[in-house]
Amino acid sequence: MQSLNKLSDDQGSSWADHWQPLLDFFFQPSCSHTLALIRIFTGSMIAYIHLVWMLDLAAFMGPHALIDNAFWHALHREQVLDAKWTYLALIDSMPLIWTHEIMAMVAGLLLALGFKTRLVSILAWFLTLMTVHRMTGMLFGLDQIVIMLSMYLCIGRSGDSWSVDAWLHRRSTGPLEMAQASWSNTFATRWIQLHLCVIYLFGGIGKMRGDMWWDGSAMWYSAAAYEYQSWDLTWIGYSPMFASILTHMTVFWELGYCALIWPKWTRPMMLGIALLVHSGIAIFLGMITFGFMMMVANLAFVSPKLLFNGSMFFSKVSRER
Amino acid sequence: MQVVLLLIGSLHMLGLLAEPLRFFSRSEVAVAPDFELIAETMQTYSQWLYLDHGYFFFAPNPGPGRLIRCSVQPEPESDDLSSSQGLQIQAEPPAETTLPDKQNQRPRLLYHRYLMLAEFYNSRFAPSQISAESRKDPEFAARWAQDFDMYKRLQASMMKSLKHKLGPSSITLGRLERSLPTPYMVLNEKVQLNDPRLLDVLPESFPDPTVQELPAEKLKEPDAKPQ
Repeated sequence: MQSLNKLSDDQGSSWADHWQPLLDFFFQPSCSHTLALIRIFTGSMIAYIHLVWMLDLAAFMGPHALIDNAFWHALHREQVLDAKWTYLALIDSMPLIWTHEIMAMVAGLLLALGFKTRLVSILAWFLTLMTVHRMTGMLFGLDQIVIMLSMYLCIGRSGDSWSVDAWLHRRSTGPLEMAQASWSNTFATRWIQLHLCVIYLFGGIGKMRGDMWWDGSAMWYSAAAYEYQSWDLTWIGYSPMFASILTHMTVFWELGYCALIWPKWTRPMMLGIALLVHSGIAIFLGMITFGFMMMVANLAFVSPKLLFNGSMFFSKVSRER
Repeated sequence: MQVVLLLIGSLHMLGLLAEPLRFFSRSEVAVAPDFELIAETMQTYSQWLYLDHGYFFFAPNPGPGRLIRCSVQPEPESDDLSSSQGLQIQAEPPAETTLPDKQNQRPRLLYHRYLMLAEFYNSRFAPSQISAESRKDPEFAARWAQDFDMYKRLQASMMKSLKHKLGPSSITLGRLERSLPTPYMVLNEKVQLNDPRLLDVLPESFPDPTVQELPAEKLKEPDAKPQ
């Protein structure tokens, strides 16, 4: 920013005036409560994801995997040469694979707890990325969102609030220094927000290409997919009008998200619809983990101040009880 | 430092946009050269960071369910006794399971991993034969040969894994497709979503690739009726 101001002074024009809103957007210091909440949920989900891999680990990795290392190499090195590198595609030793998965799960738990947050956030992201690259053919939206959130958590100071680190720091020096605002929190939060806008924009454009999202039947056919169904949603078929409104609302909400999430007066509405859509995916379409993590990602649009005040309110209420 | 971070951020944004732009700008006849250039430039970055997605959730339309049918025929431990005594042991019908399996794969995330595997398996399918007409196009034929080889290798990998899990057995993999019922079928005809009638076995090869299409004028003849 100093260099930009200097440039402005030199030229006698208002370069800085042009740049300042952008610099404020990315670098105005903010508190860590939003990132801290995202950290808790993302770390817990990372631990859970690795726990589930471990339930049937021999089928997913190692010499007897459903997609073995030979096929993995054929796919990523022979047919096309891509950049999906992971050391897990080079090892067949089950003890080493178990070690990797246990480490990743522990890193996720420590991230959720906020212990040595900077180190474990990088570790949890990296170890999960290595697993994700190895698990070709078994991934879905959940993995995309978890990798995205854990990557941006490496940038911010999410351990400054609601963490073991903050508690330890408070014990030694008091709360003030630890709770200070930082530009890296804003920078990380902005990237989660922008990334989410890209996801919804292209999600919406993709749906616009399908005729079922136009003729209003997509919601019915999503509900009628037995493989996805967890709770019966076929009752929406009794009201084609309702099903059609839900279909169109989903498409236009996804398309409009990248614009309407920014103004303060439309943001609550967009977040409210996000809550409805993703809880619907979680409850009815059997993707509890994915639906939940999309809601967590949307927390990036909730201000740290609001979350802090909310937590204060709840702790006050619980103390009074 | 902020300027440097903004420049890095701009490149990162390009990395985020590269794959969806390429994905959406691809048609059956061409790929937009500008988006292809961006995607090629950024692909190492976006692939390694696992940012290379099209974000095609339930798009362009919700599609049918794709499953893997797994037929398992246990190998007899020894057939010496039956052959020496002249007995004819009737082979038991193979046990059949499907992947994914809602009843046995829990929690839901584990089931979903297998669901994705079934989708992947189906997406890698290449028919065992192509028509004589298609063989005349060397580029198409080469691509098919490569795809078919990959499909066979995937099958081999999965069968090896299943054999290890299930013990000595003869395993055959097949592809199933569950069609999506209309509201009328479910609400009026009371068809269940897991009704076996909605499940089709998909062929590993197209009906008869050697059969040539009849010339157009032949089809117009009034007596050209199906046999």
